[in-house]
Amino acid sequence: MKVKGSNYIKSNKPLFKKLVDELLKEYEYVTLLAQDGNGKNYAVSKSGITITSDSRVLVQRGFVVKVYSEGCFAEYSGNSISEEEIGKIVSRIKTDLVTLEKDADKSSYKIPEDEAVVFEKSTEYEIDPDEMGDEAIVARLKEVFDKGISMDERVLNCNVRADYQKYSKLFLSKNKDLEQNVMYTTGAVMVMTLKGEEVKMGYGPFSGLCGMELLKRYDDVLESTVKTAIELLDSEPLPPGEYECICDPATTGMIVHEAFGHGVEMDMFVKDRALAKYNIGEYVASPLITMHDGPDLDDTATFFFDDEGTLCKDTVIIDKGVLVTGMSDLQSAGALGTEPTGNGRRQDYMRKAYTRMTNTYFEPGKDKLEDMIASVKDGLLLQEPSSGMEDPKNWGIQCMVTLAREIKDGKLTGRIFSPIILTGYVPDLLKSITMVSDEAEECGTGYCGKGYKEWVKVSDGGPYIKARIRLG
Amino acid sequence: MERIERILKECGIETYLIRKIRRESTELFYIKKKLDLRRITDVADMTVCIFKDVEKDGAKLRGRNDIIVDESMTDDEIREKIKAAAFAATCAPNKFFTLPDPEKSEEIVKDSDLMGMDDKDIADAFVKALYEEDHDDKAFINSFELFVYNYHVAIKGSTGVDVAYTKKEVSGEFVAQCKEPQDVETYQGFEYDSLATNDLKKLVRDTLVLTKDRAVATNMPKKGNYDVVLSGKYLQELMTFFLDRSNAAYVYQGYSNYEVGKNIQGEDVKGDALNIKLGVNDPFNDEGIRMIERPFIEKGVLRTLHGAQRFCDYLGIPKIGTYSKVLLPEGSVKSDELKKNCLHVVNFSDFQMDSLDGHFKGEIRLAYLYDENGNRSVVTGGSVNGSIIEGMKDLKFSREMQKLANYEGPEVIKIRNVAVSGE
Repeated sequence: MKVKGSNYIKSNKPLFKKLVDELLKEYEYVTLLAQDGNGKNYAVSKSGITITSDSRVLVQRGFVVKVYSEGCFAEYSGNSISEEEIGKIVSRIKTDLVTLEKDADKSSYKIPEDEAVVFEKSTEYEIDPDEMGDEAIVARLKEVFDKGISMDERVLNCNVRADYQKYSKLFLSKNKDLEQNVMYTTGAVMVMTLKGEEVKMGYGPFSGLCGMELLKRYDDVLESTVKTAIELLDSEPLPPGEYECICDPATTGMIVHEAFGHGVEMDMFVKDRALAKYNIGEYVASPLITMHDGPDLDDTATFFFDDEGTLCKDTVIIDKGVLVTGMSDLQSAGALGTEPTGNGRRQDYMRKAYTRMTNTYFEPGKDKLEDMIASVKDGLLLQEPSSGMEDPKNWGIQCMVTLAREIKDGKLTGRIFSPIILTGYVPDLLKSITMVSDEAEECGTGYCGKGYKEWVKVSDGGPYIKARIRLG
Repeated sequence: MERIERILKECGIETYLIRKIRRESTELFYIKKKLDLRRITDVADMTVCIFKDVEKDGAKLRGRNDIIVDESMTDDEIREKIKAAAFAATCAPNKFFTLPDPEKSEEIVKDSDLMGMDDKDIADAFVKALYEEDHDDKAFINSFELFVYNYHVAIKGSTGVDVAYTKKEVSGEFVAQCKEPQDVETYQGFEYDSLATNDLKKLVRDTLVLTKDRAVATNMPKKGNYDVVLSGKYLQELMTFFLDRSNAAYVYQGYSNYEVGKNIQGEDVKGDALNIKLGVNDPFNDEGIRMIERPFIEKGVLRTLHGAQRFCDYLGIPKIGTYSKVLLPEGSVKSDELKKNCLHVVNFSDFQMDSLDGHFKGEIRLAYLYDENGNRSVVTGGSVNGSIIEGMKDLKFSREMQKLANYEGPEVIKIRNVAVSGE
C-alpha cells in the first residue's frame, strides 16, 4: 500500500501557495518546504515499557521559506500559517530577515534554475503502525525481550526497540509543486552483560523503507546479539598496531559513510574544507571499489526530492577506485557551477539545508566470506561499529567498533578484543582493499550529524572488505 | 495552554504535564568573511505528557505517552491526538511512580546581560568579536555559524506544577584553517549564556595557534602507554561518566553500582580526591522540578543520585531531576607541572566517554608530547583508549580553572598509564 498524504499539508496548501505568491512579488526566487512528520519510539527493557511520540527528529510540523535577495539567500522558519499570518511573515522577512547584517560583504549566487515539475509520490508498506496498534507492537517487543533476557543468566538487560516515521513534504516554487509521502521503520536489540564495573553491549540493528512488517526481523538478530554480549565478557584490550582486517558490512558502511562519504559532501568543497575536491578523476580506492549514494536502495534515506526541490537520483561517487564526483545541495552546486545531486537535506524545517548523504554504500564484489577469512594469516574480523567522525580536510579516519575477532592461519580463534578505534588515512585504507565479498547488507538505524549537530536519517553498508587498518 | 487543559479534561485525562516552548532564533552563516545565509525562526509548540493508571494482577501500574501539539492544530485534531496518547499510555504500563511535587513560580527571567539586548545587536557583537581576531598571516577563519536563541518555557501539570522561565543563549561553531606547510583545519564549538565576546575572542586566538601547530605536525606518537593530559572541553565530556553512573536509570537497570555514601574512587587514592558539585543551567527541569546546586562527590564519596522522576521514585531517593553540569574546585598542581613527561592531546577527531564500559577514546588530531623537562614536540594521528574506571585513583587536576556550558573547574587533567596507538 502507498503512504497517504498529510491532512495538514493538503488543507494548508492554498495558504502556502499564497505565501509563495506574495513573496514572489518582492523577490525573484522564492521556495517553500512544508513538512508533517509523525512517528513513535517503542522500547521494552528491564526498566519497563516506553512509547514516546515526542521525538523532535520524528515529529515535525512546520515550514521554511527561502528568498533570493541581492544575490544572496535568506530563510524564515515557522509553524504558524493562516491568512493573517501570511502578511506578518512577509513583513518579517522584509524588515527583520533580509536586513540582517545589511552592510556585510555577502556571497553572490545566480538565481537557481526552476524547472517546471509537478508530482505526488509515495513509498509503499505492508503493515501500517497505526493499524497494527501500540498494543500489538509492544506485545511483539515484549516477546523478544522475554526470549532475550532468558537466553543466558549473564544477560543483565535486553533492550528491544522499534521506531517508525511517516512523513509528508511539500515543495513549492514558481514552477515546482512536489509532494512526497514516505515511511521507514527501524528495529534494534541491545543486550547488556556485566564484567566487574564494565557494562558490555551487543547491538543488533535492522531497518527498511517499510512499515511494521519489519518486526519479523528480530528473530534474525536476537540470538547472535546475545551471543556477542556474552562473548564480550571475555574480551581483552587490543595491543595497538596495524592489522590485516576483514570488516563486516556494518563496519564497511561506517567507513563508507564517515571516512569517505563526508569528504565528498560538496558544501565542504565550497568552503575549501575537503581534500576530495582536488582528487576528482584520481584513484582514491582499490579498483575493486564502487561507491553509490542515492535512492536506488530502499532504506531509511530513500525519498523522491530533497529539501531544496531537487529530484533524487543515484550518484556514483567512486567508480572502480576512481573518484568521479561528490554529492551536492543546490546552493553549493550554484557556487561550484555543478549540477545538484539531490543531497540538500535539513534536520527539519527549523534548520538550514546542507549537503547530506542518503543511502551510501559500496557495491558487492566476487569473493566468498569464507575465502576471505581463510586468506588471513594473522588478523582480525571487525564487527559492530558504534560511531565515527569525519575529517574531510585531511581524510583522517576515526571509527569506533565494539569488537574484533582474532583470525590465525585462516581461522577464527574465538579470542575477542574490545573496544577498538580505527584510525589512519582514508585513501591508504581504501587502496589496501584486496578482497570484497559477494554479499552485502545495509542498515539505517542511525542518524548522521554534520559535525556535532544537524541530525538526519541515513543508511549505509556494503560487503565484507579485506584491508590493512591501524587499530587502537 | 488553557485550550490544551480544557481538551485534556474533556478527554477525561486527569494526570498530565504540559511543557510549552517558544523558540525564536537569529542565525548567520559565514564562509571566510562573507555572509552566506541569514535565517530567522519563530516556532512554538507544546509537549503534553499523558499518564494513565491501570491495574494488573492487583498491582497499580502507570503508563505515560508524550506527544507534541501546536497552536495550528484544530481542537478536533488535538482531541484525536490526546485520545491516541491516552491509549498508548495504557499500552506502556510500568511499576507505579509518583509525579513531581507542586511547584509554583512567577516567570523567572534568567539573569544575563543578553536580556534586554536586541538579537541583531547580540549577533553583531559576536560577529565583530570573532573577526577582530582573524588577522593572523597564516591561520584564518574558514567558516562560522552563529545562533542567537530566545527561549520562553512554561511548565504546567495536574499535580500543581506551574512554573515558567525565559532565557537567551548564544551558540555556534567556527573552523580555523592553516594552509602552510600542511593544509589543516580545527573545528571549534561554543555556547554562552552571557555577552561573552572576550571568551569567544580567546577561543579564536587559541584555536588559530593550535591550527598552526597542527600544520607542522607530521609524526605520530609511538604506540605504548602514556600519562595522558586532557584539557578544555574534553574534561566536560570525561565528567559525563560520573553523571551517567549516578543517574537513577543507570542504577535501577544495574548498569551502575553507585549508591549514596559509596566511596566510588576507592581506597589508596594516589592522585587528587574527587570533589564535584552538581551545577544548574536552567531554573527548572522538563518535569518542573526546581534545580539547585547540590553536593555530588566529596573526597571520592558519592553524596547524590539524580535522574528522572520515575527512576528516583523506584529507588526511593529524593526527586531532584537530572543534572548535566558539574562544578569542580581547583586542583593541586599548576598546569605547567602536569605537562611533563606526558602526551597532552589538545584536539581529537571526536573524543567520547562511554559511560557503560568506562572507556574514553578518540583519534588524535593534535597532541603535544612533553619530556620530563617540559620540552614539547607536536604529534598527530594514532588514538587514545583509556579506562576511567581503572584511572580514577590517580587523577591530577590543575590549579588553573575554566568555565564551559556544563563544566566549571580545572582546565587540565592528567590520567596515568593510558594506551595510545601510533607508530
